[in-house]
Amino acid sequence: MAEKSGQVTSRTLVVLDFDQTVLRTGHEEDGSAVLLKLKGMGVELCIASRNDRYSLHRKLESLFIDRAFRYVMSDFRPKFYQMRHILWLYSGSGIVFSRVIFVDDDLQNIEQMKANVPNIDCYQMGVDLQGIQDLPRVVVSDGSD
Amino acid sequence: MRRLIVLVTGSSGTSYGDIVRALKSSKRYRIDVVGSDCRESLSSKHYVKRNYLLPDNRNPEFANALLDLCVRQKIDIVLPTQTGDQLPICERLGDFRDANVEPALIVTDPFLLDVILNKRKMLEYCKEIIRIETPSYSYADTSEGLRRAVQRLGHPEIPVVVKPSFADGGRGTRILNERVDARRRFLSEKPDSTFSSLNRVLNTIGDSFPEMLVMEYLPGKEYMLDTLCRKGKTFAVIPEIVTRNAEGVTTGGVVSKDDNFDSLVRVAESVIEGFGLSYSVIVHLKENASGKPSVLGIHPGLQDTTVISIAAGVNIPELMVMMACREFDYAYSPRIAWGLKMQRVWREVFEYGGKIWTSDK
Repeated sequence: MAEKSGQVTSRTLVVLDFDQTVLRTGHEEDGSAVLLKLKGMGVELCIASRNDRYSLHRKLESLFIDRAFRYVMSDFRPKFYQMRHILWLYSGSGIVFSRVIFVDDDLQNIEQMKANVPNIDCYQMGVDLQGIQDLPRVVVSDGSD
Repeated sequence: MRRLIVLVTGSSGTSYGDIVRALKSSKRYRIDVVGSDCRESLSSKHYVKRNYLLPDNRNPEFANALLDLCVRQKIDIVLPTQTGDQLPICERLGDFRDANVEPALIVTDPFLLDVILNKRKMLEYCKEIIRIETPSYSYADTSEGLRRAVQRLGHPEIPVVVKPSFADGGRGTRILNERVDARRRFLSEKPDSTFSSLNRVLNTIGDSFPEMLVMEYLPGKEYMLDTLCRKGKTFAVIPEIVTRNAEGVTTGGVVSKDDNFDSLVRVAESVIEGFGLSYSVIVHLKENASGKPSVLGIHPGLQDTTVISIAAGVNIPELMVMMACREFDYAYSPRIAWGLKMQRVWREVFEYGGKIWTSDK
């Protein structure tokens, strides 16, 4: 981490959709290990979801990955508002990210994100990534792939 | 007709009777209304047969007591009418749902609800995340900080508003206007605590205090936008121009489409989408010096102004019940009686010899 005029420019933030992304059928157990590996690499993880808050938290707890995520947004806002909110919360703590990655299986969410929040590297689950296990490759790349 | 038991909180509130009548007028449901409040009142006894005393919603036992009441009275739906009810219920939402009770909350995440209910956080969120017009503002929790904050906004040359960041219904709100003719007001107007001066406020609240918001004073037309919404989608916006206000309660208004109508609807839709709101909120706006409506507050649930929307043809309490039952028609389109005027008058409640009645009957 490098400090610039009172702000901490941090590593990478990865914001994940929940259904069909964190919970990509058949890859959930692998996913837990990958997420913990990413945390170990210093990557900040958050969730942007429109799922019911209570069922989402229960599922995260059952997979023992609830502590992997700093902010879990599960409400009815479009995801670009959830992303702005997450970035706003981090910036309130003086944390600015050198790279922000957003992963969702829904193309519309990705297009809305690109249109409303600049400088986000967006990846479509099922198209650009085949599962959570592909995330470390994306995180260490420079975002140009 | 499906029978439902609906608990409506805040049974001593100004518009409680109108909310109960709106629910009972439902052609879709047979609704038994149960009331609750933290104090006894004659009006509660008059409007509902079953009314229960609960701790104040700031009491840590409030949610427990409410949940217990819901289970004992077999409540299907809770309609909170007091802003302070929302957060304690939201924090226990899982327990309410496990007991088959559906509270009509504007959001289900306590973290997001805290942003809406804290005036400073709400303004920051509206400005930075939703990106809509807000008044200029600052905040402080010490006397020196408050002096600096009001100066930054141009006081004493121009009036500013101070209010606690977290308070219900106008409590602690003062307009600091050093140029107001205090002598004329003293001699010709009824007692009114709205106008004050910085020194008087500081003498009252001392050197340190809970966070106070300092805002640009908005001199123009005041609007209360009553809304109906579900999962961030807007189904109705009923704009009420406030024509009279007393102690933070709208006492006169008109449902109107004026020149600002389109921009008011856009602001309401942005707020609803930007927070992902459900059921009903009132978006409070005032015109700034250049005539542009600017957001002042977001008030959750059924409020005093809901009565004008009911009279204008949008039975918000019944529509909220439909949403809670997951029977709301997403093709709903409101028919609004534009031009409807409202003047709030007193209606006394009497009790004698075991009977309760009101002055209009």
